[in-house]
Amino acid sequence: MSRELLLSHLIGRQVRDADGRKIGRIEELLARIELHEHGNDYVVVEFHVGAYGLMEALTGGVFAQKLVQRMGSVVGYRRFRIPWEWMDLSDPLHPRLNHTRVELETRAES
Amino acid sequence: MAALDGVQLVHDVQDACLCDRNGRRIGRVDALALTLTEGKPLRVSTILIGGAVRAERVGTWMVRLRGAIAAMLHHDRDFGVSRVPFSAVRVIGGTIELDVDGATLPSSRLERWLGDHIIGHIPGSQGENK
Repeated sequence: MSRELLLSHLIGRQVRDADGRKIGRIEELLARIELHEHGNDYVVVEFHVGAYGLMEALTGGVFAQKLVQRMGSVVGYRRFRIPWEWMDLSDPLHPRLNHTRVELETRAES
Repeated sequence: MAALDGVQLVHDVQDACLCDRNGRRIGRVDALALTLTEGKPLRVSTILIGGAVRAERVGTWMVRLRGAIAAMLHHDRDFGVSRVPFSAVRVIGGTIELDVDGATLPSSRLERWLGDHIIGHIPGSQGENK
């Protein structure tokens, strides 16, 4: 069964890992063309999730997020690129990874 | 149609300017609908154009304000939201080109209404000579 959701409803959502630990907020979705017999579709292949470390409480607004991203490692900002297969969107308002944070960090380092 | 490494939906598509097949500007990507199917990647399905969907992104107060203004103007509460399938996208660049006729879109009703009721009454708006 298919259902529709808006991009704006996903952006900014807090993502948690399989153990319920916070990973960060969805900032970007990367889409690529998928070819079919009847044409082609853009499908989302990757979610970019940003974590603001200790600055998390201050990063509610878009301006604050951009500012913190610019300051990068100084404020503990990290961005994870998460493949679509790792993301569980059965409840789109509470996205969850089907892997742990440790597995995600291992993947990011490799 | 797009770069090989993909399209960033927030950076490249959301809020991008749109033009129709005649090169006429028809608004912006006010929202982007994705289709969620279990066991499959999210599919980018529809571009939504119209003040109502943009107001929803701002907040419920904007939805109410918009409805109140429309009521004051004695107009129906919605000037129309256009749903354009993403397959109609020809080019994603600085502007997104769509293979549609902008004049037929419901979201163009506001523009037409403004043209008929306000802009059209301004002297010189019809392009007549001085």
